[in-house]
Amino acid sequence: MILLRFRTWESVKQELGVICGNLKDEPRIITVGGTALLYHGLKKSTRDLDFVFTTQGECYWFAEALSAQGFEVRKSANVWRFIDLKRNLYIDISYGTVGDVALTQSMFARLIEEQINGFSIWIVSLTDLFIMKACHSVTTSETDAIGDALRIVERVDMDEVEEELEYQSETVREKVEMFRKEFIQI
Amino acid sequence: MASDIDLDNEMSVTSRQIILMLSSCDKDYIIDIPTILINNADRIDFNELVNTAFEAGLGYSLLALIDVANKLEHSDAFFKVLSQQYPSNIEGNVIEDNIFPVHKFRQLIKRSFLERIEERWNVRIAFTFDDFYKVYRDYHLLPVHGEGLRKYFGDIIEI
Repeated sequence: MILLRFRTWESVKQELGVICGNLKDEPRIITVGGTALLYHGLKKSTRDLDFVFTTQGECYWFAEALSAQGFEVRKSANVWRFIDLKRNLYIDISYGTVGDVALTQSMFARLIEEQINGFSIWIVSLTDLFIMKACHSVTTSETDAIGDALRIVERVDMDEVEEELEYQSETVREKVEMFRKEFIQI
Repeated sequence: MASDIDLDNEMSVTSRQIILMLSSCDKDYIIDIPTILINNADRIDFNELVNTAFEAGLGYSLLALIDVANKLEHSDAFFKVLSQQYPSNIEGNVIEDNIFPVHKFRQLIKRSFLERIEERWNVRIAFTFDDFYKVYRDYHLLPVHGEGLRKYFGDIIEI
């Protein structure tokens, strides 16, 4: 069997449409990771869907909807991973932060809204995706994340990145600086 | 080209599809190959696969990826094909993504963790072992052994 992949934003919307149909409340669903890159046209496909929520409560509502659809949950320190074992479909959800990167008010102001079956889905901006991917690259050295960050950096305004870093922790600022030194100045 | 891969029929895997994935120079396909080989080891005709790969000029690249698959999870099918091909190692090749040519990878990552496999097949690989492991963990270990792993680790997994 070849591994399931989402290759278009439309296919992500279809999957989200089904999940939203099982939601009993209206969490603010924020799309991050490869899913957001697919939306921005900077990734050809993604294997798993990644969402983050502002609060634990909203994350729980979404988790309930996934469980109602038969997804099995595996929890780690950073994310809850929901798996549809029949389709090899993975959905990672978390709240409050994406790795080291905090969800800030300035980040919310840059979110892009998409409507799916009456639900608002919010996509994180390229500026914030760059910060998330740069931090992840430094933490893991995965070529996957490094490649993503290198693709994004060509399309972001570094002044906006600098502004956002003012609101982030020292760790995030250090990691983004490390990424820039290590990977951008080739 | 990767776009020739039959995306409407993803439940089956053929030698041609694997070779198309390998020749695509697209990380999203290449990284999946060892796990696909593991998941389909009992269905793949490795002689046909290796012959098709050599015809396409990708024989040693494929052998390197079979070697990676065997490192992730030992299989007699992998061992057999690797043993048969090993002595005739004469040509070299490169496994890389469009965005990660080997020279850039060496410059940026500075290590690959796959040196022995590269030496064995004279192939240079622009990915780390962890890149392959992540797909193996998600798309073989958890779906296939998920319940067994749960007995030992509960719901807590490394992501």
